[in-house]
Amino acid sequence: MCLGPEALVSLALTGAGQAVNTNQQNKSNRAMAAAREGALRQELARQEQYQKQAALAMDDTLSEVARSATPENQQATDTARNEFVQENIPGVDTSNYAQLSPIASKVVKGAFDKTVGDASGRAREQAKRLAALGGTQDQFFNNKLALAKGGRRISTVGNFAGGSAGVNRAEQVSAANNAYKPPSGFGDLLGLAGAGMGMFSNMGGTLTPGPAMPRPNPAFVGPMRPAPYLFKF
Amino acid sequence: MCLSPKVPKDNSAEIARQQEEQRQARISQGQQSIDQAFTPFNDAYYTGIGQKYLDFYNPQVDKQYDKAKENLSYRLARQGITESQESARQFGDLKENYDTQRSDIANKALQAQNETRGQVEQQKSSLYDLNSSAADPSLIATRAATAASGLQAPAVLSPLGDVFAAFLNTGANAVQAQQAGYPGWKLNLPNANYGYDKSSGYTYNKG
Repeated sequence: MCLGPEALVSLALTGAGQAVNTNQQNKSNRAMAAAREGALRQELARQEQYQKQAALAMDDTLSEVARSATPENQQATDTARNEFVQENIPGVDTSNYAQLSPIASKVVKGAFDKTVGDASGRAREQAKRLAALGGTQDQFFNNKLALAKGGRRISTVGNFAGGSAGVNRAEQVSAANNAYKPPSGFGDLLGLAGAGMGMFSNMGGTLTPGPAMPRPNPAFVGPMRPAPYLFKF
Repeated sequence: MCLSPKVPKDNSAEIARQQEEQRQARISQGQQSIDQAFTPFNDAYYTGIGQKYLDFYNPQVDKQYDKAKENLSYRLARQGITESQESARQFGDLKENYDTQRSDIANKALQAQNETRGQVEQQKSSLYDLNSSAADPSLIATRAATAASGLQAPAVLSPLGDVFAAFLNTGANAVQAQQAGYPGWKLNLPNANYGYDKSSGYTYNKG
């Protein structure tokens, strides 16, 4: 099979049209991908900032918990509670024990003072032990408050990060849409020209110059005159 | 060369980003409203809670202690052992009981402080959650003010029960038991001797 020049030109034009279209489509796709990636990178930078904020909140919380967990702090908490409790325990005063007669001997009064004082001392020691127990609970409680406070901060950052990430999906789509470049149409034109040339060739048209046209017989020359076509049908 | 029509710009992402930034700003504003409404809940406030607790319960236990001392004095006097070692021991026990009650009140005052602090923090966390979901500063400001005023309402404290009743009953029984010959506490008390007389029945002779 031997292709004529018309078919070859048709093929070349069609191929060139397709190549132009493909090239433009690829360029557009690359631009869209780059735009999507750009939007994603911007979001990743935002998310990194959110992560830093959350990490800072976490560090603050852990530092607060670690500070309160030191033996010195525990001691201070115990002491504070113990002082508060001890202040609420009145001192020993046996002078108001009305049952002791005014002439009661110093020995009796002294025995009363000692017995009651010892009993009060036992109560104070017990209160101290209870305060130490309560101090530990206070420490746990303070840690719990610190964790709740840190949790609120981290939760807020998480909320912002989630909201931002949600918007990013739309941003990627939008960036891609805005980066989209529609085909210029030149490829289509070339393709159309190729198709036209194919049709021309199929209909017997040729690009090669033919023999000189015979002069028309005047007898047949009527009102219609041959068009000055270059091509011969 | 461009034969195709120009594609209109897609502004949807810009609108969405702007909305998100506004939402975050509203949440931050709501948090400020919450923090502002909870400003009164500071250390001084919680210290005040503890002090109110002490002010409510200390006088009650003091009054009961005075009454218990009085009852103990009368009972010891009736038994004739007012100035005995047992009397001193019983007053010592009463004082120990009283001191324990006072320390208990102090511990509970601190517990009341912590409970109040915990309730405030819990309320604050709930409002923060609501704020994050609603992102409506005006709504949150109203809710925060309502919650804060609700928390400031005075706590209902129940009156103290009779904290020395058990001590007085136990002490009385112990003394009577020892007087009856039970050697339990070795109190060196004058023992009560029971006898039987044919004419008058059971007799009680103080030893």
